[in-house]
Amino acid sequence: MTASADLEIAGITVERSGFPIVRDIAIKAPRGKITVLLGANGAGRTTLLEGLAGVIPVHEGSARLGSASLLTLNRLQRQRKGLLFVEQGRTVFAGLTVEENLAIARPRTDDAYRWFPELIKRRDLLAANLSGGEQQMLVLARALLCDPAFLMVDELSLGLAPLIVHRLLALLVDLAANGLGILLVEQYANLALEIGQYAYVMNHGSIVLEGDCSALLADPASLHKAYLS
Amino acid sequence: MPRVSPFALPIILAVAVAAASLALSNYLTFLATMAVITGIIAMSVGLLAGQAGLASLCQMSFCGMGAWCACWLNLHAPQIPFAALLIAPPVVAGFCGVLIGLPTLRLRGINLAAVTLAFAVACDALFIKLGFPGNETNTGFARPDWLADDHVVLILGLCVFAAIGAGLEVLRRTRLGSAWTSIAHSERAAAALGISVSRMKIAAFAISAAIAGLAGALMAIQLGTLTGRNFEALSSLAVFSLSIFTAAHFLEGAVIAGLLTVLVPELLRRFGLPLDLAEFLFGLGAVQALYRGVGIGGSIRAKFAGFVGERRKAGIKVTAALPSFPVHLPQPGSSLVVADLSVAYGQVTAVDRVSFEIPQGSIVALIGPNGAGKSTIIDALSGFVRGYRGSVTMGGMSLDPFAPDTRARLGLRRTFQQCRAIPGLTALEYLRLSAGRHVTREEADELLTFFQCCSSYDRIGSLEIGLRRMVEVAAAIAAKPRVLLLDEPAAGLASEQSRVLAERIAEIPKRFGCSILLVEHDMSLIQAVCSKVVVLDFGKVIAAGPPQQALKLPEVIAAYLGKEVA
Amino acid sequence: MIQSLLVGLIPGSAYALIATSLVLTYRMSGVMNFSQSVVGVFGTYVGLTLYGSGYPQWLAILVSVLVGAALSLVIGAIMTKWFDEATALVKSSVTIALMLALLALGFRLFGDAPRSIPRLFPGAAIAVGGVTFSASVLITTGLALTVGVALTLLLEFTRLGAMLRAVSERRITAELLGIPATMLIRVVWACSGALTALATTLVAPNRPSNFLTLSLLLLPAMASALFGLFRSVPAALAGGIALGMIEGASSYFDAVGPYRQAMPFVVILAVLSWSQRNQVWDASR
Repeated sequence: MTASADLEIAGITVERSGFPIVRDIAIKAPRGKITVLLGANGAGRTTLLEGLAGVIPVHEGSARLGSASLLTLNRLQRQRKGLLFVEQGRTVFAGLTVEENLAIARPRTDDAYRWFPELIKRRDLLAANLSGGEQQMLVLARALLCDPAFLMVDELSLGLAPLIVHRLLALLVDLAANGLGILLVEQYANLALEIGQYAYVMNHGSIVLEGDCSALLADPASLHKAYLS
Repeated sequence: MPRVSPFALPIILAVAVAAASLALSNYLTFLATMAVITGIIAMSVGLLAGQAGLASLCQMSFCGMGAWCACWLNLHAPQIPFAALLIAPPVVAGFCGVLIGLPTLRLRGINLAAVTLAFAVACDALFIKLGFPGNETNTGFARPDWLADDHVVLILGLCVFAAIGAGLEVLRRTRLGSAWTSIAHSERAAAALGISVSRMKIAAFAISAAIAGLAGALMAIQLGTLTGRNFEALSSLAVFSLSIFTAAHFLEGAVIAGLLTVLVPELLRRFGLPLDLAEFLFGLGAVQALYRGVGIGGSIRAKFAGFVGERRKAGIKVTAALPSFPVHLPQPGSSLVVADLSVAYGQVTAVDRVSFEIPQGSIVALIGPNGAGKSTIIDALSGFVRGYRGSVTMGGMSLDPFAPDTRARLGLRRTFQQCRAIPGLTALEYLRLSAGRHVTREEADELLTFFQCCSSYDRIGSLEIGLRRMVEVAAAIAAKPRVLLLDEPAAGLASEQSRVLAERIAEIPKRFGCSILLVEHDMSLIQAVCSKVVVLDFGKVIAAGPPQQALKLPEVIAAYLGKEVA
Repeated sequence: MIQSLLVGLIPGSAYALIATSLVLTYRMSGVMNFSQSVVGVFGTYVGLTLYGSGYPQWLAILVSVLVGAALSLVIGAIMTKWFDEATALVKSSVTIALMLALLALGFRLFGDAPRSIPRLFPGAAIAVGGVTFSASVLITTGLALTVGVALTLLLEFTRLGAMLRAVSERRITAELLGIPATMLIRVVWACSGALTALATTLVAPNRPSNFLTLSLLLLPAMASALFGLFRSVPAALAGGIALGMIEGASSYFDAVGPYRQAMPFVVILAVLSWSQRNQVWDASR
């Protein structure tokens, strides 16, 4: 079991095609806690996560996972350090079966079926033929099989029924309780705030509001304003 | 940006070389003629691959067909006027181009390349079996007396080169040229602009093959005796690669292509170096040039036209006053009625019996959480989803049987979530392409100023994403649509730009007479601009009505915030 | 007639093997590798030169396979390092340019005179019911089938195969899960080169062989790969063997004989027109 670690970033700026999308971001996401990242579409949340995971280059700033400095590593090396990124859009390998999707992460896949018994009867089905909820379970299980030290999740709930979303978020709560640090980007603000400890709200590439989740839940007006400004 | 007459460059070149050629020795004249012919073939590949983005690897086969036709006419019908020898081969080759283009309409990229290469190999076999007319009798191509001198052949070649070069430059600036550029970028974007993708592809094949056929006729005149080896598949591959790396859809590139083919072996010969080094150097040089991405002709064209590649920053000066446009009444037939629309992908129902109306001259918003089905609905309305159930009616006319390009021409226009404005075009060319008519510069400038994006001559590729989105909307408006579907036009815009966009969108029905369906997440923009809101969740309509009321409904709040409805 | 079909099996197997290599490199890197067969011929000729200098046959074959692998590895590295983001047109142009450069180099090193290439298994043959199966046919076809089946089994039923398929589908996501995509891609390129060199070595004794004509094996190999739209190994295999047999059969009929070269085009056009009849839009754009 990889020891879990804190994720700390400061002064992060990420560009796409020469334009800064994300400017000067500082976030502390400790282990054992769920840190929530909110904001309207286009605010830059996905860009930030992609920069941290190494999918796109980061131009300025620093990022540490535990004692390891991330920005000098390529994405494969960051994964080896334990940083797992669950991308937006349920990126299953459509031509592979459920079991194959899981097996390439780790040959022993039993744990995945423990977390998501629904996948047992879908074991030999092509991932392309799963429902949205099942695909999201598959993607999450696949990442968890890699034994992460820190987990970043982008838009878990996209297009999923509330019941399934609750199921997935409950698993995240369990994982955090067992010591895993999680950075969660979500479009459903209330749901995320209910399970998180600390939240940051992004707008137009910068953090415009941050605070304890309970505080933000109690003050919807400031949240609303942060989204719409 | 300086506007260069399309005729200037080819004519200058041709005259210069023609003048110089009179002093050339026979050997150099021969080489020069070869360079000219290669340049013409390179131009034909440039049109097909460089401009229209179609990977066709059988160009020399079209060339050979033209040559064969010329030889045949020369042998069997020597009495016909010489002009026919320059007209019939391109027609025949062009026809063959259509024959190849038709079955390959659905093939793209690697599959198209492989099929055309197989065709080239098949043609090789055909040429070897048939031989060229005149080969058996060992007569070869008999030149008319006035063409006996090689210098005259060179001048003829130069005239043809200049004519084709000028013609292609003119073509590039017309809608046809812009249409090809748009197809190369994205077929969906082209269809949404009202372009028939199939017809444009066939036209590209036909014209490109015709030019190659004409080059073939010239080869027959120059060389006299031809064999299948002159047109083998390997040369098709070589000329393809050459044309891409010299960017031969630009005239400069074609010139360089011709020169390279001839100069490099010559220089090697002069320096006593082994000749096969030429191909080796070509290989390495091509890889190097392609690594830099633009192709030699592209770099030259870029420097020549003063294209600097600076990006316009997002800080457009926001003017409070809108330019005055005459006010239009809502166009007749600018209402849209959607009834029981359902879309299923396999077992997943993406859209479930959605019905709503867009009254004439109004702005209706389609909102809902991500994954609710909004983009699918836009795709279905604009014709990009085959086999949807339900009906879409515009101004009383059913749109269901029509393909996307037809719907676009009938007056239903859309923008794309990922912004599919064509980077290779200038704003003016893009507007003209979308409008399907000749939009004057003044009209274009007026429209572009209204949306505060750029000037007519700005290349779309040099604009940053926010401005490109505005240009996409402007182009849709230029087409004088009846109904406009905007798919997240404000995504990625800075707040000031969003505000400007919101103001402009609010003005569109008044100024341009069309109705709008707006997909957006920005609630303040929606409340400012729309008269009605349709709320979607999991493919179903859960609420509809004026924004102030609909957005306060508990179902809507629950859908967005994710609380389970008790 | 059957004899012609059988003779066609040898080139058919070569087409199948080279087509399989093309499919592998296309799936892993999105590159249509026009230099595939030249690389193989290089390997074959190096082996030939060794054999001509007196080294044992098995060593010559081994070296030719290694040379093929090495050259292919280099080209694969060039393509993935420099041209990863390039358009399909540019990528094709690069591999064409590399093919031409290698052809020139090959002519320089080995000359373009036809070489007589010794048969690998001279004289051995089995006769069954009036039909003669030469050892070459049996071994070449056997090899093609074995490789094809083994590859398909590897891809479909092993964890490594699943990794390869995952990388070919979504390279970045695979890397985010810790799969060493770049290394796997390089291995696939090397194996493609090795496979092509082997195929060329096996088929060379049966063709008029100079450097050029052997390199032109690319063309029917590409047509074979088209049977599965460059995506399916079994289809490429079947396509190659089918094309070889069709070519063999058509040489039996005098009328069609000289047009044998046109067979791939005719067949492939028919197959694709049927299989692609419902494709309207380019899926990705």
